[in-house]
Amino acid sequence: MPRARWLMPSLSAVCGVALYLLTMPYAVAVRPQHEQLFTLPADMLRVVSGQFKEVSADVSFLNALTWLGGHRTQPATHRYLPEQYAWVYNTLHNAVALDPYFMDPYYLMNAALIWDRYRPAAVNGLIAKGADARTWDSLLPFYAGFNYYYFLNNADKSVQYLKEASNRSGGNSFYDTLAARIAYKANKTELGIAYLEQQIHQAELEGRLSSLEPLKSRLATLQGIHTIELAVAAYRKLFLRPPRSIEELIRLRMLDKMPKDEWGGTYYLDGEGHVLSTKEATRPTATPKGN
Amino acid sequence: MMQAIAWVTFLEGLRNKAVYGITLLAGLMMAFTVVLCGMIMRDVGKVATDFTLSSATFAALLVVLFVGVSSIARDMERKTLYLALSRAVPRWRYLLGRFAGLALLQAAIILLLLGASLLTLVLVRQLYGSFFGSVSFGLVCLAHLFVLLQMVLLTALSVLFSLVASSSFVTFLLTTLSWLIGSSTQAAKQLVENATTEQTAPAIKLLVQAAYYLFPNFSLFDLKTAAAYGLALSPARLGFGLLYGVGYSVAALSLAILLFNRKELT
Repeated sequence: MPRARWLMPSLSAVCGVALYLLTMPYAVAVRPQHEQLFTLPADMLRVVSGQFKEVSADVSFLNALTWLGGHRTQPATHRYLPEQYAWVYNTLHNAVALDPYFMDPYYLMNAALIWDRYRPAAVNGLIAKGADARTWDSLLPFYAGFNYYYFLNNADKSVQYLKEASNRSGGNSFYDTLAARIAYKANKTELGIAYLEQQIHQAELEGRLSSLEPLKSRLATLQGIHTIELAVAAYRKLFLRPPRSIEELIRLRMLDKMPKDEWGGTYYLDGEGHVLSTKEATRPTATPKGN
Repeated sequence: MMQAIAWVTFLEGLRNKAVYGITLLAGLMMAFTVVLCGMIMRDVGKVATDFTLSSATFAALLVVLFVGVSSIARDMERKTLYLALSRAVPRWRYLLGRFAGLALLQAAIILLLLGASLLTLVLVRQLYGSFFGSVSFGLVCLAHLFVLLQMVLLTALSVLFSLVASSSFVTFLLTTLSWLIGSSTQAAKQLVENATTEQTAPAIKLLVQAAYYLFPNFSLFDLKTAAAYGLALSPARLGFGLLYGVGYSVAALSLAILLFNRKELT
């Protein structure tokens, strides 16, 4: 009888462990991809998370981060599969839907989705919303502005967000330069001039004398370009075609002299009468220092 | 006598082993926060604040559910209630004494959790200073106060439920459900109101709206986001939240006293 007292529990324990080891392969089997790449809709997640929605946002972000860290792109295309991009997008979207102020998901989607050209309009729409929510932050409007120009060819929106980045950073000259150049490249010279004049006015009001000189230099450049553009427009009205060169405009006294390019180049006209400079700016690929 | 009941309830709570377990759990979660912050890219302070405040909320909730809920229900189940009432203590004094003792216990635990939260945040700031962001320590303290307020409100509800329900388990279920519903009704209401008629049946809409007005809106006491980003909070919002919590608690307790006065104790 005493033997049965310890024999039976021991036997059942051994049976239990054997059963556990037998079923282990099923328990640890890798789940199919459609199960792995499942996300709840953001609205539903917000209801389910209740008061722990911020933690839920943190966990969603960490999920996406660790997934991206642990999975490689396809060897042939150097890209993830479409359903994998969709999962990363949905997970990060959930994170920012639960906490629209959370910077890291925006940062990650800007790095992992936009540059892989995954739904750039939707992703940048989220980044722009983040920029609107984080009213103290200058980095997100910069990302939004840059992406609008670089990936979405929307110069108006780009300039709008870069202006916002400049305002929030207290007049970071990098954002100013970028906004002015984009405005110029999008044939929005007047917009660029107005923007720079406003920046100079603000710098004078705030006593930021060191930033006045570069701003004035950029303003002079845009004003020079604008003078040529006005002359081109007048020429086009008269001759119903664009002028061949700036020298032709000077020769016809439609332009007093060749304006000085403050960026160090020389202006010329392309076949359609657009003003270009030999010192053409290249597209930026780096982020600014600071925030 | 009411003070004596409150003090005994407070001491009972402190002696309860569940309180130690819950506090230890919260401490471990906060220690885990420091480790977790190493994985965050930029908003480290925000994540640390989320986790410490969520740990505090979770621990305080467990104290209500595992210590507070059973307090009056157990007295009734074990008939120890007669001992107090036989000493010519008015019923309402007994009930308020129990409630005050539980509120005091919650306040002591929240104070402890606040200390742990601040310690965790200071440690995280030391480790990841440049990514700590604009976490407001003042708002973290205020957020703990609001956690206390919502737990006191939940305790008042649990007192009411313990007089309606037949057992402590039913009281536990009703209190848990109230907290879950009260924490989600605002988001649920928003969800069904934005949905079209095809997506949500009118009956569901009505049900969610009824729950929204009937159950306390616990999301009003949630200041995590404001504390994590140092967002400005209007005094009106804070004052309204405070009055709402006090008003709902007083209403629940008054109803509980009415029920208790009419209850036949056998």
